[in-house]
Amino acid sequence: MRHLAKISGFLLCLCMLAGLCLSAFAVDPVQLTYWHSNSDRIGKWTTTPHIVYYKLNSNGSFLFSSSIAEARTQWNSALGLSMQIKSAAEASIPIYGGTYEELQDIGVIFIELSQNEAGQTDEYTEVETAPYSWNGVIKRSFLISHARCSIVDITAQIDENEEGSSTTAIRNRIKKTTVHELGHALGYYGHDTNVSFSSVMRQGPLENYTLTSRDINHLAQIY
Amino acid sequence: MKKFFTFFVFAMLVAALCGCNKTPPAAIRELTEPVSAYSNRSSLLTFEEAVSVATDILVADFTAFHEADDYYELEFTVTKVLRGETTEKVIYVMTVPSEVHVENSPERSFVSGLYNYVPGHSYLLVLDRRVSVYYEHDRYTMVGDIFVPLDDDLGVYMYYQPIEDVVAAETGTQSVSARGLTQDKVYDTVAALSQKTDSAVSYYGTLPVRADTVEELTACSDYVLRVSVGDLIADGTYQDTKTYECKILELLKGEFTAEETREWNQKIYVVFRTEDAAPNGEYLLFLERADENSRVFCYTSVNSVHSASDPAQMQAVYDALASN
Repeated sequence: MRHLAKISGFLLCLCMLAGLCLSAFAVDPVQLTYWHSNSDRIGKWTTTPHIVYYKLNSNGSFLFSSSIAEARTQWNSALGLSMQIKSAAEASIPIYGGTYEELQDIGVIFIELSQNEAGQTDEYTEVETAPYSWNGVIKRSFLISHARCSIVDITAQIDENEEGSSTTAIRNRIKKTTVHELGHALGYYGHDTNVSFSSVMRQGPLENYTLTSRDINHLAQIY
Repeated sequence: MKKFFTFFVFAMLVAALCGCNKTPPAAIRELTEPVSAYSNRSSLLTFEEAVSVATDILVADFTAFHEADDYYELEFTVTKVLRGETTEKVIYVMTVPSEVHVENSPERSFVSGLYNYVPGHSYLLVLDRRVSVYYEHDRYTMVGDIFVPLDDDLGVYMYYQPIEDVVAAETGTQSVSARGLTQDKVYDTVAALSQKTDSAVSYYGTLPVRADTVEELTACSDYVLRVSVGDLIADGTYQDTKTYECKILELLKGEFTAEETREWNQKIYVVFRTEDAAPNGEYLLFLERADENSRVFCYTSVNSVHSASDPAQMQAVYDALASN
């Protein structure tokens, strides 16, 4: 009798194990229609995040507030969100705007000085969830609950290094960086590397700050 | 036969699973944690550029590996200074693992992890030195992520790629000079280039002032303020600091423009070492701006924070200001 119980238990375990294996293989990942990133990851927020921002200087040429407004409006419209500017206690995306020195002094960036980066997004709090699939390739998926953006005030840098850079060009590049970094914070990991398109989620000193269909489609399909 | 077949299937499965993880070359350490920092670069430095912009080029023995939450510090003992003003025997090289993407050159994008430094072994280091009142010690970073082991035959790497590939990508050809870049040759090249110091920069950042008395602190600080500490603005990720919005209660030295006074409403951002301040506390601070027009204010000296409730100390500041 005892042997029978042992055998039954063993068979039960075996069946459960087989069931688990089968269920693991049986669930197909959700198929994505678009993929415009060089990363194999994508993320989304479960609830609409809010923004708090800090301009770290009084440089009148650094139009940080209007860049934040631009980024917020565009992504709200693209993803059907209602992100607002809130207090630090209510916001999940702090955005800092300042020179390299200011951002480094408050300890939110630490980068190789010769990199000439215009922005950075980091400090994600995220949980991995069921993956997606695109074109037969598995894409890892994350639920985000916190992210931090830093926007470099490049006005002085451009004045020194690039003679003839117009004020409009500088402002456009800062706006592009802000829209771009907020895209990262909202879950657009990696970059669009197709140089045939002027996507905001391409990297580099580009001036187009208006989200393209490629930028929107990539994220909107999971929101 | 059945057993053999089962073993074969199992072996194939194991091989397939192992094959999913690309094993890095011996020179590169495998990261234990997934990278969650991303960096975009419009271009990468060439080997010569990296060597020319470095503040310090040293020969040093690797001694220890320190892990913080968001970065690593590598401890080295310096044996030879080829360029720079480093006088410390022990230095700390900081690295932040990140996924680096390169504009228009996706083939050169990489995951910056860590090179496989071996304790007791010697390396040629191409570095930037950074100083700050908030650092426990000067911080160095690898310029161009150049890895030159002097005791191991692992080859030379730059941006986590063999130097031959980097030079070939720069020149567009698999040139003879690229293929011939042995460790000895790289050392000789770097040693020769080290003598060129076109750049006058010997470090980045602001050297903390050594000031022991209130009089000295007052003299060397652009701003002397009595403040009350408000909301937390930023928690330092790469240093043990907290930045608070502070309400100015009394401006004892320094000035603000009319625009700053109007826009900031007497509130500035002060970077404190974590243990120096608490919300709602009142302090007497000796500070300087982080940058021109900056709303961020930093310590002038390690002892820039004083209690504002000590009348004798306040009187000493008034006296120091009167005598200036």
